[in-house]
Amino acid sequence: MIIPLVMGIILGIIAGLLPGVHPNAISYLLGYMPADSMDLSIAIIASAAANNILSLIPAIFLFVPDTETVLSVLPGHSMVQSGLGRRAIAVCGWAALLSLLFLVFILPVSFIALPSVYSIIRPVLGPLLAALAILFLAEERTKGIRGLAKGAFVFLLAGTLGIVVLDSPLLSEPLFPVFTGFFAFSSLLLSSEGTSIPKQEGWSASMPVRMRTLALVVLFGVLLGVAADLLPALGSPAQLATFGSPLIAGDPSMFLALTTSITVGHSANSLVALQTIGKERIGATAMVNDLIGQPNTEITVVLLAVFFIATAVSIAMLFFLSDIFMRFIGRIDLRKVNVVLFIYLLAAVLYTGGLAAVLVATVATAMGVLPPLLGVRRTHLMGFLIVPTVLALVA
Amino acid sequence: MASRLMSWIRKNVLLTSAIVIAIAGLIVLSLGARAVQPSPVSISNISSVKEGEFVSFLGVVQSVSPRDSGYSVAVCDSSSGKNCVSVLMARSIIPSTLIPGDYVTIRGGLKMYLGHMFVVPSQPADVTIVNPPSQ
Repeated sequence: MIIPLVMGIILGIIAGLLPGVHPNAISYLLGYMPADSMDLSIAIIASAAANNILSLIPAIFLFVPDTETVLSVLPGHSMVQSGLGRRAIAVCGWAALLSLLFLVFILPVSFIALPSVYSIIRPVLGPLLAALAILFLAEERTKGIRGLAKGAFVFLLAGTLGIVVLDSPLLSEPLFPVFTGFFAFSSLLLSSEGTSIPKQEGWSASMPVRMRTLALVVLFGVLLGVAADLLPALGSPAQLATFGSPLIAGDPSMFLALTTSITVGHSANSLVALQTIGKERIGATAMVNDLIGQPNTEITVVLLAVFFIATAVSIAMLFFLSDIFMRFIGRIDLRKVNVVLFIYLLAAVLYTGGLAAVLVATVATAMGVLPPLLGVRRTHLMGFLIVPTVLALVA
Repeated sequence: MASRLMSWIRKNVLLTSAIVIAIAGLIVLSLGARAVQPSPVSISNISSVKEGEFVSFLGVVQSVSPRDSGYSVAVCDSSSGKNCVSVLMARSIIPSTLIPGDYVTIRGGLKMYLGHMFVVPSQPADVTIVNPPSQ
Protein backbone atom coordinates (compact mmCIF):
# COMPACT_ATOMS: atom_id res chain seq x y z
CA MET A 1 0.00 0.00 0.00
CA ILE A 2 2.87 2.38 0.81
CA ILE A 3 4.55 2.25 -2.61
CA PRO A 4 1.41 2.99 -4.69
CA LEU A 5 0.48 5.69 -2.18
CA VAL A 6 3.86 7.42 -2.55
CA MET A 7 3.90 6.97 -6.33
CA GLY A 8 0.40 8.42 -6.58
CA ILE A 9 1.32 11.44 -4.46
CA ILE A 10 4.45 12.13 -6.55
CA LEU A 11 2.52 11.89 -9.84
CA GLY A 12 -0.27 14.07 -8.46
CA ILE A 13 2.24 16.72 -7.39
CA ILE A 14 3.87 16.74 -10.84
CA ALA A 15 0.51 16.97 -12.61
CA GLY A 16 -0.63 19.71 -10.23
CA LEU A 17 2.43 21.84 -10.85
CA LEU A 18 2.32 21.51 -14.65
CA PRO A 19 -0.38 23.78 -16.09
CA GLY A 20 -2.56 22.05 -18.64
CA VAL A 21 -1.96 18.49 -17.38
CA HIS A 22 -5.43 17.30 -16.44
CA PRO A 23 -5.62 15.06 -13.36
CA ASN A 24 -7.73 12.59 -15.34
CA ALA A 25 -4.77 12.08 -17.70
CA ILE A 26 -2.74 10.78 -14.75
CA SER A 27 -5.65 8.54 -13.66
CA TYR A 28 -5.94 7.02 -17.14
CA LEU A 29 -2.16 6.64 -17.41
CA LEU A 30 -2.06 4.78 -14.09
CA GLY A 31 -5.19 2.79 -14.93
CA TYR A 32 -3.52 1.05 -17.86
CA MET A 33 -0.29 0.14 -16.04
CA PRO A 34 0.40 -3.60 -15.63
CA ALA A 35 -0.03 -3.87 -11.85
CA ASP A 36 -2.44 -5.07 -9.17
CA SER A 37 -5.86 -3.39 -9.54
CA MET A 38 -6.09 -2.38 -5.87
CA ASP A 39 -2.56 -0.90 -5.92
CA LEU A 40 -3.45 1.07 -9.05
CA SER A 41 -6.68 2.30 -7.42
CA ILE A 42 -4.70 3.51 -4.39
CA ALA A 43 -2.21 5.33 -6.66
CA ILE A 44 -5.06 6.93 -8.64
CA ILE A 45 -6.86 8.23 -5.53
CA ALA A 46 -3.56 9.48 -4.03
CA SER A 47 -2.64 11.29 -7.25
CA ALA A 48 -6.09 12.92 -7.47
CA ALA A 49 -5.82 14.10 -3.85
CA ALA A 50 -2.32 15.52 -4.38
CA ASN A 51 -3.35 17.17 -7.64
CA ASN A 52 -6.27 18.94 -5.91
CA ILE A 53 -3.86 20.69 -3.55
CA LEU A 54 -0.75 21.31 -5.65
CA SER A 55 -2.63 22.70 -8.68
CA LEU A 56 -3.33 25.72 -6.44
CA ILE A 57 0.28 26.87 -6.99
CA PRO A 58 0.01 27.60 -10.77
CA ALA A 59 -3.55 28.88 -10.22
CA ILE A 60 -2.47 31.43 -7.60
CA PHE A 61 0.97 32.46 -8.87
CA LEU A 62 0.73 32.00 -12.65
CA PHE A 63 -3.04 32.64 -12.97
CA VAL A 64 -3.39 29.37 -14.90
CA PRO A 65 -6.56 27.49 -13.98
CA ASP A 66 -7.87 24.00 -14.47
CA THR A 67 -11.45 22.91 -13.94
CA GLU A 68 -10.91 22.47 -10.19
CA THR A 69 -9.01 25.69 -9.49
CA VAL A 70 -10.56 28.01 -12.07
CA LEU A 71 -12.14 30.27 -9.47
CA SER A 72 -9.00 30.39 -7.33
CA VAL A 73 -7.22 32.36 -10.04
CA LEU A 74 -8.82 35.74 -9.46
CA PRO A 75 -8.59 36.04 -5.66
CA GLY A 76 -5.15 34.41 -5.77
CA HIS A 77 -4.01 36.94 -8.36
CA SER A 78 -5.20 39.92 -6.32
CA MET A 79 -3.54 38.58 -3.12
CA VAL A 80 -0.21 37.93 -4.88
CA GLN A 81 -0.28 41.44 -6.33
CA SER A 82 -0.82 42.77 -2.79
CA GLY A 83 2.17 40.78 -1.48
CA LEU A 84 -0.11 38.27 0.26
CA GLY A 85 0.84 35.17 -1.73
CA ARG A 86 1.88 33.29 1.42
CA ARG A 87 -1.41 34.16 3.08
CA ALA A 88 -3.26 32.81 0.01
CA ILE A 89 -1.33 29.55 0.35
CA ALA A 90 -1.85 29.45 4.12
CA VAL A 91 -5.60 29.95 3.75
CA CYS A 92 -5.80 27.15 1.16
CA GLY A 93 -3.68 24.86 3.36
CA TRP A 94 -5.77 25.53 6.46
CA ALA A 95 -8.98 25.16 4.46
CA ALA A 96 -7.86 21.77 3.14
CA LEU A 97 -6.87 20.64 6.64
CA LEU A 98 -10.14 21.79 8.21
CA SER A 99 -12.01 20.12 5.32
CA LEU A 100 -10.45 16.78 6.27
CA LEU A 101 -11.52 17.36 9.87
CA PHE A 102 -15.13 18.13 8.92
CA LEU A 103 -15.22 15.21 6.48
CA VAL A 104 -14.50 12.80 9.34
CA PHE A 105 -17.97 13.70 10.67
CA ILE A 106 -19.79 14.41 7.37
CA LEU A 107 -18.79 11.30 5.39
CA PRO A 108 -20.49 8.77 7.74
CA VAL A 109 -23.74 10.78 7.41
CA SER A 110 -23.26 10.87 3.65
CA PHE A 111 -22.86 7.06 3.61
CA ILE A 112 -26.32 6.72 5.16
CA ALA A 113 -28.23 9.66 3.65
CA LEU A 114 -26.85 10.02 0.10
CA PRO A 115 -29.23 7.62 -1.73
CA SER A 116 -32.43 9.15 -0.30
CA VAL A 117 -31.30 12.78 -0.65
CA TYR A 118 -30.28 12.02 -4.24
CA SER A 119 -33.78 10.87 -5.19
CA ILE A 120 -35.41 13.90 -3.50
CA ILE A 121 -33.27 16.61 -5.09
CA ARG A 122 -33.20 15.45 -8.72
CA PRO A 123 -36.73 16.57 -9.78
CA VAL A 124 -36.28 20.19 -8.55
CA LEU A 125 -32.72 20.77 -9.73
CA GLY A 126 -33.49 22.82 -12.88
CA PRO A 127 -35.71 25.50 -11.26
CA LEU A 128 -33.35 25.61 -8.27
CA LEU A 129 -30.34 26.41 -10.45
CA ALA A 130 -32.29 28.98 -12.49
CA ALA A 131 -33.24 30.79 -9.25
CA LEU A 132 -29.62 30.67 -8.05
CA ALA A 133 -28.41 32.11 -11.39
CA ILE A 134 -30.73 35.11 -10.93
CA LEU A 135 -29.52 35.55 -7.36
CA PHE A 136 -25.98 35.40 -8.64
CA LEU A 137 -26.60 38.21 -11.15
CA ALA A 138 -28.24 40.33 -8.47
CA GLU A 139 -24.77 40.80 -6.96
CA GLU A 140 -24.39 43.77 -9.33
CA ARG A 141 -27.50 45.56 -8.02
CA THR A 142 -25.32 47.95 -5.99
CA LYS A 143 -24.03 49.37 -9.30
CA GLY A 144 -27.54 50.23 -10.46
CA ILE A 145 -29.41 49.10 -13.52
CA ARG A 146 -26.34 49.65 -15.73
CA GLY A 147 -24.27 47.37 -13.52
CA LEU A 148 -26.97 44.71 -13.68
CA ALA A 149 -27.17 45.05 -17.48
CA LYS A 150 -23.40 44.78 -17.88
CA GLY A 151 -23.25 41.75 -15.59
CA ALA A 152 -26.13 40.11 -17.48
CA PHE A 153 -24.41 40.87 -20.80
CA VAL A 154 -21.18 39.12 -19.74
CA PHE A 155 -23.11 36.24 -18.15
CA LEU A 156 -25.25 35.63 -21.24
CA LEU A 157 -22.35 36.09 -23.68
CA ALA A 158 -20.33 33.48 -21.76
CA GLY A 159 -23.45 31.30 -21.56
CA THR A 160 -23.84 31.47 -25.34
CA LEU A 161 -20.23 30.35 -25.72
CA GLY A 162 -21.06 27.40 -23.45
CA ILE A 163 -24.09 26.47 -25.58
CA VAL A 164 -22.03 26.73 -28.79
CA VAL A 165 -18.91 24.82 -27.75
CA LEU A 166 -19.83 22.34 -25.02
CA ASP A 167 -21.39 19.86 -27.47
CA SER A 168 -19.68 21.15 -30.58
CA PRO A 169 -18.22 18.65 -33.05
CA LEU A 170 -15.36 21.11 -33.55
CA LEU A 171 -13.51 20.04 -30.40
CA SER A 172 -13.88 17.33 -27.80
CA GLU A 173 -12.32 19.09 -24.79
CA PRO A 174 -13.44 22.74 -24.72
CA LEU A 175 -12.85 23.52 -21.02
CA PHE A 176 -9.09 24.00 -21.19
CA PRO A 177 -9.08 26.55 -24.08
CA VAL A 178 -12.09 28.37 -22.63
CA PHE A 179 -10.73 28.72 -19.07
CA THR A 180 -7.27 29.58 -20.39
CA GLY A 181 -8.82 32.34 -22.52
CA PHE A 182 -11.16 33.59 -19.79
CA PHE A 183 -8.55 33.86 -17.06
CA ALA A 184 -4.95 33.31 -18.22
CA PHE A 185 -4.77 34.97 -21.67
CA SER A 186 -7.02 37.86 -20.67
CA SER A 187 -4.91 38.48 -17.52
CA LEU A 188 -1.73 38.42 -19.60
CA LEU A 189 -3.32 40.85 -22.09
CA LEU A 190 -4.38 43.33 -19.43
CA SER A 191 -1.32 42.82 -17.24
CA SER A 192 0.30 46.15 -16.43
CA GLU A 193 1.42 45.65 -12.87
CA GLY A 194 5.14 46.11 -13.45
CA THR A 195 7.91 43.73 -14.31
CA SER A 196 8.01 41.48 -11.27
CA ILE A 197 5.73 39.93 -8.70
CA PRO A 198 5.80 42.19 -5.63
CA LYS A 199 7.79 41.11 -2.60
CA GLN A 200 5.63 38.71 -0.60
CA GLU A 201 5.08 39.00 3.13
CA GLY A 202 6.65 36.29 5.30
CA TRP A 203 4.90 33.27 6.78
CA SER A 204 4.59 35.03 10.15
CA ALA A 205 2.07 37.46 8.61
CA SER A 206 0.25 34.77 6.69
CA MET A 207 -1.84 33.05 9.37
CA PRO A 208 -5.55 33.45 8.71
CA VAL A 209 -6.75 35.96 11.29
CA ARG A 210 -10.37 34.95 11.54
CA MET A 211 -10.20 31.21 12.20
CA ARG A 212 -13.84 31.01 13.28
CA THR A 213 -15.05 32.61 10.04
CA LEU A 214 -12.62 30.41 8.09
CA ALA A 215 -14.02 27.30 9.78
CA LEU A 216 -17.61 28.32 8.91
CA VAL A 217 -16.70 29.01 5.27
CA VAL A 218 -14.86 25.66 5.06
CA LEU A 219 -17.83 23.82 6.57
CA PHE A 220 -20.12 25.46 3.99
CA GLY A 221 -17.64 24.60 1.22
CA VAL A 222 -17.36 20.95 2.26
CA LEU A 223 -21.16 20.67 2.33
CA LEU A 224 -21.32 22.22 -1.16
CA GLY A 225 -18.63 19.78 -2.32
CA VAL A 226 -20.66 16.87 -0.97
CA ALA A 227 -23.72 18.34 -2.73
CA ALA A 228 -21.74 18.38 -6.01
CA ASP A 229 -21.80 14.59 -5.92
CA LEU A 230 -25.59 14.67 -5.61
CA LEU A 231 -26.15 16.94 -8.58
CA PRO A 232 -25.27 15.32 -11.89
CA ALA A 233 -25.27 18.59 -13.83
CA LEU A 234 -22.82 20.20 -11.42
CA GLY A 235 -19.78 18.09 -12.09
CA SER A 236 -17.34 20.93 -11.57
CA PRO A 237 -16.68 22.42 -8.11
CA ALA A 238 -16.23 25.73 -9.93
CA GLN A 239 -19.96 25.81 -10.67
CA LEU A 240 -20.88 25.38 -7.02
CA ALA A 241 -18.28 27.90 -5.89
CA THR A 242 -19.87 30.36 -8.31
CA PHE A 243 -23.22 29.90 -6.62
CA GLY A 244 -21.66 30.17 -3.18
CA SER A 245 -19.68 33.31 -4.01
CA PRO A 246 -22.36 35.95 -3.17
CA LEU A 247 -22.17 34.84 0.49
CA ILE A 248 -18.52 35.86 0.81
CA ALA A 249 -18.29 38.67 -1.74
CA GLY A 250 -15.30 40.93 -1.42
CA ASP A 251 -13.00 38.68 0.60
CA PRO A 252 -10.50 36.92 -1.67
CA SER A 253 -9.00 34.78 1.11
CA MET A 254 -12.41 33.42 2.13
CA PHE A 255 -13.19 32.72 -1.52
CA LEU A 256 -9.99 30.68 -1.77
CA ALA A 257 -11.02 28.80 1.37
CA LEU A 258 -14.44 28.10 -0.19
CA THR A 259 -13.08 26.76 -3.50
CA THR A 260 -10.43 24.62 -1.76
CA SER A 261 -12.92 23.07 0.65
CA ILE A 262 -15.43 22.40 -2.15
CA THR A 263 -12.74 20.57 -4.14
CA VAL A 264 -11.62 18.45 -1.16
CA GLY A 265 -15.21 17.69 -0.09
CA HIS A 266 -16.27 16.84 -3.65
CA SER A 267 -13.35 14.45 -4.22
CA ALA A 268 -13.71 12.65 -0.87
CA ASN A 269 -17.47 12.24 -1.19
CA SER A 270 -17.16 10.99 -4.78
CA LEU A 271 -15.75 7.78 -3.26
CA VAL A 272 -18.87 7.50 -1.09
CA ALA A 273 -21.07 8.27 -4.12
CA LEU A 274 -19.39 5.46 -6.07
CA GLN A 275 -20.14 2.97 -3.31
CA THR A 276 -23.65 4.11 -2.29
CA ILE A 277 -25.31 5.27 -5.53
CA GLY A 278 -22.90 3.77 -8.07
CA LYS A 279 -22.17 7.15 -9.64
CA GLU A 280 -18.73 8.11 -10.95
CA ARG A 281 -18.39 11.82 -10.24
CA ILE A 282 -14.69 12.38 -11.01
CA GLY A 283 -12.24 10.77 -13.42
CA ALA A 284 -10.34 9.05 -10.60
CA THR A 285 -13.41 7.19 -9.27
CA ALA A 286 -14.41 6.25 -12.83
CA MET A 287 -11.03 4.59 -13.31
CA VAL A 288 -11.28 2.90 -9.91
CA ASN A 289 -14.71 1.56 -10.93
CA ASP A 290 -13.15 0.19 -14.14
CA LEU A 291 -10.34 -1.47 -12.20
CA ILE A 292 -12.10 -3.02 -9.21
CA GLY A 293 -15.81 -2.45 -9.90
CA GLN A 294 -18.20 -0.77 -7.47
CA PRO A 295 -16.26 -1.02 -4.18
CA ASN A 296 -17.68 -2.47 -0.96
CA THR A 297 -17.60 -0.55 2.33
CA GLU A 298 -14.21 -1.95 3.43
CA ILE A 299 -12.47 -0.94 0.19
CA THR A 300 -14.15 2.48 0.25
CA VAL A 301 -12.81 3.06 3.77
CA VAL A 302 -9.29 2.07 2.64
CA LEU A 303 -9.51 4.44 -0.35
CA LEU A 304 -10.81 7.23 1.90
CA ALA A 305 -7.85 6.66 4.24
CA VAL A 306 -5.53 6.93 1.21
CA PHE A 307 -7.28 10.16 0.21
CA PHE A 308 -6.88 11.63 3.71
CA ILE A 309 -3.18 10.69 3.96
CA ALA A 310 -2.37 11.96 0.45
CA THR A 311 -4.21 15.24 1.08
CA ALA A 312 -2.41 15.77 4.41
CA VAL A 313 1.01 15.09 2.83
CA SER A 314 0.13 17.39 -0.08
CA ILE A 315 -0.78 20.23 2.28
CA ALA A 316 2.75 20.05 3.73
CA MET A 317 4.17 19.95 0.19
CA LEU A 318 2.00 22.95 -0.74
CA PHE A 319 3.70 25.09 1.90
CA PHE A 320 7.17 23.78 1.04
CA LEU A 321 6.94 24.02 -2.76
CA SER A 322 5.08 27.33 -2.85
CA ASP A 323 7.86 28.87 -0.76
CA ILE A 324 10.46 27.69 -3.29
CA PHE A 325 8.17 28.88 -6.09
CA MET A 326 7.84 32.37 -4.58
CA ARG A 327 11.60 32.74 -4.16
CA PHE A 328 12.20 31.58 -7.73
CA ILE A 329 9.54 33.66 -9.44
CA GLY A 330 10.34 36.76 -7.40
CA ARG A 331 13.82 36.94 -8.92
CA ILE A 332 12.90 36.89 -12.59
CA ASP A 333 11.36 39.40 -14.96
CA LEU A 334 7.59 38.89 -14.93
CA ARG A 335 7.32 39.97 -18.57
CA LYS A 336 9.60 37.09 -19.56
CA VAL A 337 7.52 34.72 -17.43
CA ASN A 338 4.39 36.01 -19.14
CA VAL A 339 5.86 35.50 -22.62
CA VAL A 340 7.02 31.95 -21.79
CA LEU A 341 3.66 31.22 -20.16
CA PHE A 342 1.76 32.57 -23.18
CA ILE A 343 3.79 30.41 -25.60
CA TYR A 344 3.42 27.33 -23.38
CA LEU A 345 -0.34 27.78 -23.01
CA LEU A 346 -0.84 28.51 -26.71
CA ALA A 347 1.12 25.34 -27.59
CA ALA A 348 -0.94 23.36 -25.04
CA VAL A 349 -4.22 24.71 -26.46
CA LEU A 350 -3.06 23.93 -30.02
CA TYR A 351 -1.93 20.42 -29.03
CA THR A 352 -5.14 19.53 -27.19
CA GLY A 353 -7.65 20.84 -29.73
CA GLY A 354 -5.95 22.16 -32.87
CA LEU A 355 -6.91 25.40 -34.58
CA ALA A 356 -10.52 25.13 -33.39
CA ALA A 357 -9.27 25.29 -29.79
CA VAL A 358 -7.16 28.35 -30.63
CA LEU A 359 -10.25 30.04 -32.08
CA VAL A 360 -12.25 29.14 -28.96
CA ALA A 361 -9.45 30.47 -26.73
CA THR A 362 -9.41 33.71 -28.75
CA VAL A 363 -13.16 34.21 -28.30
CA ALA A 364 -12.84 33.34 -24.59
CA THR A 365 -9.98 35.84 -24.22
CA ALA A 366 -12.15 38.57 -25.77
CA MET A 367 -14.86 37.71 -23.25
CA GLY A 368 -12.32 37.49 -20.42
CA VAL A 369 -11.25 41.12 -20.82
CA LEU A 370 -14.85 42.41 -20.71
CA PRO A 371 -15.53 42.22 -16.93
CA PRO A 372 -12.58 44.42 -15.87
CA LEU A 373 -13.30 46.86 -18.71
CA LEU A 374 -17.01 47.01 -17.84
CA GLY A 375 -16.39 47.12 -14.10
CA VAL A 376 -18.29 43.94 -13.20
CA ARG A 377 -17.27 40.69 -11.53
CA ARG A 378 -15.28 38.19 -13.56
CA THR A 379 -17.22 35.35 -12.00
CA HIS A 380 -20.09 36.20 -14.39
CA LEU A 381 -17.99 34.36 -16.97
CA MET A 382 -19.10 31.17 -15.23
CA GLY A 383 -22.36 31.65 -17.16
CA PHE A 384 -20.37 29.50 -19.60
CA LEU A 385 -21.15 26.46 -17.41
CA ILE A 386 -24.33 27.63 -15.70
CA VAL A 387 -26.49 28.57 -18.72
CA PRO A 388 -26.08 25.23 -20.59
CA THR A 389 -26.57 23.36 -17.29
CA VAL A 390 -29.85 25.16 -16.53
CA LEU A 391 -31.07 24.72 -20.12
CA ALA A 392 -30.26 21.00 -20.05
CA LEU A 393 -32.15 20.55 -16.79
CA VAL A 394 -35.28 22.56 -17.64
CA ALA A 395 -35.53 21.45 -21.29
CA MET B 1 -6.11 65.91 -20.31
CA ALA B 2 -4.39 64.28 -23.30
CA SER B 3 -3.41 61.23 -21.26
CA ARG B 4 -6.99 60.87 -19.94
CA LEU B 5 -8.28 61.09 -23.51
CA MET B 6 -5.78 58.45 -24.66
CA SER B 7 -6.75 56.26 -21.73
CA TRP B 8 -10.46 56.65 -22.60
CA ILE B 9 -9.81 55.85 -26.28
CA ARG B 10 -7.59 52.88 -25.38
CA LYS B 11 -10.18 51.45 -23.01
CA ASN B 12 -13.07 51.91 -25.42
CA VAL B 13 -11.17 50.60 -28.45
CA LEU B 14 -10.22 47.52 -26.43
CA LEU B 15 -13.78 47.15 -25.15
CA THR B 16 -15.34 47.52 -28.60
CA SER B 17 -12.78 45.17 -30.16
CA ALA B 18 -13.40 42.56 -27.46
CA ILE B 19 -17.18 42.70 -27.97
CA VAL B 20 -16.83 42.46 -31.77
CA ILE B 21 -14.36 39.54 -31.54
CA ALA B 22 -16.55 37.74 -28.99
CA ILE B 23 -19.75 38.04 -31.03
CA ALA B 24 -18.09 37.39 -34.41
CA GLY B 25 -16.27 34.42 -32.88
CA LEU B 26 -19.53 32.96 -31.57
CA ILE B 27 -21.05 33.22 -35.06
CA VAL B 28 -17.98 31.60 -36.69
CA LEU B 29 -17.93 28.78 -34.12
CA SER B 30 -21.66 28.19 -34.53
CA LEU B 31 -21.46 28.11 -38.35
CA GLY B 32 -18.29 26.03 -38.22
CA ALA B 33 -19.99 23.43 -36.04
CA ARG B 34 -22.86 23.14 -38.54
CA ALA B 35 -20.48 22.81 -41.48
CA VAL B 36 -18.65 19.81 -40.01
CA GLN B 37 -19.68 16.63 -41.80
CA PRO B 38 -19.63 13.40 -39.80
CA SER B 39 -17.36 10.50 -40.78
CA PRO B 40 -19.42 7.37 -41.49
CA VAL B 41 -18.26 4.50 -39.27
CA SER B 42 -19.55 1.09 -38.22
CA ILE B 43 -20.11 0.29 -34.55
CA SER B 44 -17.65 -2.60 -34.80
CA ASN B 45 -14.74 -0.28 -35.55
CA ILE B 46 -15.84 2.75 -33.52
CA SER B 47 -13.33 1.98 -30.77
CA SER B 48 -10.49 2.68 -33.21
CA VAL B 49 -11.82 6.17 -33.97
CA LYS B 50 -10.01 9.08 -32.32
CA GLU B 51 -11.76 10.83 -29.43
CA GLY B 52 -13.41 14.05 -30.51
CA GLU B 53 -14.23 12.83 -34.05
CA PHE B 54 -17.70 13.66 -35.38
CA VAL B 55 -19.15 10.34 -36.56
CA SER B 56 -22.34 8.87 -37.97
CA PHE B 57 -23.50 5.25 -37.91
CA LEU B 58 -26.49 2.94 -38.25
CA GLY B 59 -27.51 0.57 -35.47
CA VAL B 60 -30.34 -1.01 -33.56
CA VAL B 61 -31.42 0.21 -30.14
CA GLN B 62 -30.84 -2.42 -27.48
CA SER B 63 -31.81 -0.48 -24.36
CA VAL B 64 -32.88 2.98 -23.21
CA SER B 65 -32.10 3.92 -19.62
CA PRO B 66 -32.27 7.23 -17.70
CA ARG B 67 -28.87 8.64 -16.89
CA ASP B 68 -28.38 11.89 -14.97
CA SER B 69 -30.23 14.65 -16.87
CA GLY B 70 -30.86 12.58 -20.02
CA TYR B 71 -30.75 9.03 -21.34
CA SER B 72 -28.10 6.47 -22.10
CA VAL B 73 -29.08 4.52 -25.20
CA ALA B 74 -27.20 1.32 -26.08
CA VAL B 75 -27.01 1.05 -29.87
CA CYS B 76 -25.68 -2.21 -31.31
CA ASP B 77 -24.33 -3.41 -34.61
CA SER B 78 -27.41 -4.09 -36.77
CA SER B 79 -25.91 -7.18 -38.42
CA SER B 80 -24.29 -9.13 -35.59
CA GLY B 81 -25.72 -7.39 -32.53
CA LYS B 82 -22.47 -8.12 -30.70
CA ASN B 83 -20.79 -4.71 -30.78
CA CYS B 84 -22.53 -1.88 -28.96
CA VAL B 85 -21.87 1.77 -28.20
CA SER B 86 -23.47 4.07 -25.64
CA VAL B 87 -25.20 7.18 -26.96
CA LEU B 88 -25.84 9.96 -24.43
CA MET B 89 -29.01 11.84 -25.35
CA ALA B 90 -30.40 14.89 -23.59
CA ARG B 91 -34.15 14.87 -22.92
CA SER B 92 -34.58 17.51 -25.64
CA ILE B 93 -32.87 15.27 -28.20
CA ILE B 94 -34.21 11.75 -27.68
CA PRO B 95 -37.20 10.94 -29.98
CA SER B 96 -40.29 10.35 -27.85
CA THR B 97 -41.13 7.18 -29.77
CA LEU B 98 -37.69 5.56 -29.46
CA ILE B 99 -37.90 2.01 -28.14
CA PRO B 100 -35.58 -1.02 -28.09
CA GLY B 101 -35.56 -2.71 -31.49
CA ASP B 102 -35.70 0.54 -33.47
CA TYR B 103 -33.12 1.02 -36.18
CA VAL B 104 -31.50 4.45 -35.87
CA THR B 105 -28.92 6.60 -37.55
CA ILE B 106 -26.87 8.60 -35.07
CA ARG B 107 -24.60 11.60 -35.62
CA GLY B 108 -22.49 12.89 -32.79
CA GLY B 109 -19.13 13.61 -31.25
CA LEU B 110 -17.12 10.71 -29.86
CA LYS B 111 -16.23 11.53 -26.28
CA MET B 112 -14.50 9.89 -23.36
CA TYR B 113 -16.49 10.66 -20.22
CA LEU B 114 -15.18 9.38 -16.90
CA GLY B 115 -13.23 6.62 -18.60
CA HIS B 116 -15.99 5.37 -20.94
CA MET B 117 -16.57 6.04 -24.63
CA PHE B 118 -19.82 7.72 -25.62
CA VAL B 119 -21.35 9.24 -28.72
CA VAL B 120 -23.04 12.55 -27.92
CA PRO B 121 -25.58 13.97 -30.43
CA SER B 122 -26.08 17.72 -30.02
CA GLN B 123 -29.45 18.31 -31.71
CA PRO B 124 -32.68 16.36 -32.37
CA ALA B 125 -31.82 15.99 -36.09
CA ASP B 126 -28.76 13.95 -35.09
CA VAL B 127 -31.01 11.01 -34.10
CA THR B 128 -33.23 9.54 -36.81
CA ILE B 129 -35.39 6.43 -36.55
CA VAL B 130 -35.17 4.46 -39.79
CA ASN B 131 -37.63 1.52 -39.77
CA PRO B 132 -36.94 -0.50 -41.84
CA PRO B 133 -33.25 0.41 -42.26
CA SER B 134 -32.21 1.75 -45.66
CA GLN B 135 -29.34 -0.33 -46.99
